[in-house]
Amino acid sequence: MADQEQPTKNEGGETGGEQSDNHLNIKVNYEGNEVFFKIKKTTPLKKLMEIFCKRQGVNQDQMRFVFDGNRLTGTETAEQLDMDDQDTIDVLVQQTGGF
Amino acid sequence: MHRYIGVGTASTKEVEKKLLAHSRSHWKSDEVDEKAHLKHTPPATPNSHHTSAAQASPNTINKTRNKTNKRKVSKQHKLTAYTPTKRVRTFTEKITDNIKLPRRTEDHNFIDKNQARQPGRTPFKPFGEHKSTMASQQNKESSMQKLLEEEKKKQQTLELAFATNAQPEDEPSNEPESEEDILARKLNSLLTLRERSMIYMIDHKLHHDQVSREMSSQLITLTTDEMMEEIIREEVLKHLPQVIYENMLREVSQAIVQEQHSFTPLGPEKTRTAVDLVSRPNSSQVICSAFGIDMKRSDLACLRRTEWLNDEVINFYLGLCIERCDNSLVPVPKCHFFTTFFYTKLVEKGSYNYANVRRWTKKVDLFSKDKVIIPIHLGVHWTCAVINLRDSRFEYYDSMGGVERGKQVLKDLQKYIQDECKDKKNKVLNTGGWEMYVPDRYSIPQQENSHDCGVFACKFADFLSRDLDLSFKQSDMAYFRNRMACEIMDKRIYQ
Repeated sequence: MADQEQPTKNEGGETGGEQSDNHLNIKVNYEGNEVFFKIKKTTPLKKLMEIFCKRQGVNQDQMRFVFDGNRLTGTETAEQLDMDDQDTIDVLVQQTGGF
Repeated sequence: MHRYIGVGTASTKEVEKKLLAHSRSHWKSDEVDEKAHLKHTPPATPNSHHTSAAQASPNTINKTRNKTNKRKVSKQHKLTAYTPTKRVRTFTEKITDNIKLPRRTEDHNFIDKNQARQPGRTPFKPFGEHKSTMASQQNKESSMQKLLEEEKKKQQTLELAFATNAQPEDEPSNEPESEEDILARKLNSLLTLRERSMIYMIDHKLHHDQVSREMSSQLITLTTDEMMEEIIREEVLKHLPQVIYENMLREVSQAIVQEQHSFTPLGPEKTRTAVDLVSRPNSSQVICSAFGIDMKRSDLACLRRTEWLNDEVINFYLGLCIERCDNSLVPVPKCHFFTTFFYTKLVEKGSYNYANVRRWTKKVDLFSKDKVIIPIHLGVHWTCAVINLRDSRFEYYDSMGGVERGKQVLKDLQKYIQDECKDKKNKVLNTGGWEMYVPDRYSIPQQENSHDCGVFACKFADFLSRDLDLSFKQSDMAYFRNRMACEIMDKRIYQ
């Protein structure tokens, strides 16, 4: 089950991405570091987010996932967002400020 | 008869003297006025003189009577009472014929007709007749007439008393012609003098009355004219386009000022709701979802008074601003709002990188907008930048007055918009001449603490997207925090 969203950082060539029309290779950009994920078009991105935060060891509540400038809540699917292969999801840390 | 005449002549002299003195004094006093008299009652022509005398005779007589003492009056009547005799009548006729005083011949019929030809009648009857003719002309002077009547009665009684005395001596025919001539001459001169004085008194009085009436009416018209002018001017000014425009401007500006300063109070209920909303920092309960944001209670908690605002609240609020801008019924500038992540991504790792945000405007054409509003996150500080495409300038609003950092931000944004134009429009946009507007701490509202910059940044964005003056201040921030909490919950910005 986990293989669907597993990070493909090291096996990018192996997956190929063209094996199935249902799958996409998505880059996740966090502070300049890119992590590849092979995802199913119809799977909500929530799963990707959870795995990413788990692997990065960060609190998901403080992470902001942004695709083309739009915030992702996790309920969206790659299909809904018209994602293409090799598209990038940006991950930012919560911003706060007072002065 | 001698005795009588002697007395009569003596008395005539006396009366004559007095009347002379009287008329002189009138002449003197009226010398200046005489010319003025001539204007409305020209005495140069005998007729007009005459009519004026006739018209005002009751008046004058009354006046003269009032002025002369009783004795004088009695003397006068002694003389006039004497006239009913035949001889005197002929004398008077003679006088009037010979001297041909025009004013007397026609005018003073009371001697010729009423007195001389109708000796049975009292000599004061003519005054009554005169009075009646006058009454038609001077109806208003009823009081004067009353006085006159009283006077007349008095004179009648005196006359009767005198007549009884005079009757036994009523034989002037025996007197020599010379005496009668003298008497007639004296009488004539006396009458002339009396009449002249009367005329001038009448003229003087009439003139005085008229002048005073004219003056008072002039005064009244003057004051009423001034009042009317004032009223008309006020009315006209009210309806002049310029004034209307100014009034409208004033009203609108007042309304705006009111809106900006009082900021439509939330009311106790909303305030309670807001306080409740921000009171649970540990709750992950989602209050509402929009713009890709699940607004949790823990996020809303940053709207408590001294908390720092996070990106969730700011992005949510700016999302509401976009909706408000798109659905506005009143004309507002067309604005695009980036999220707080835009600038962070643009300058990721401290260097400008257009590629990071190239795809962020896939669905929007920035160059169709008037303003691009960008919340700027600088580590621990929120500011607001604007690419003002309409006015060709870059703006940076910092509630801490950070000018140098602002200039850097604006340089990045300048590069961005040029790259954006090249990328999307395939055109070169030269922004070299665009103004870099970085107001200092004295030009825009400034925070006076270390936690309100997020609210300031939101309000800069809010006001600038409506082209409003930045008229808020630090003391409004508590209100804005509550209001933002309610607006986020209701997912709309209140009017």
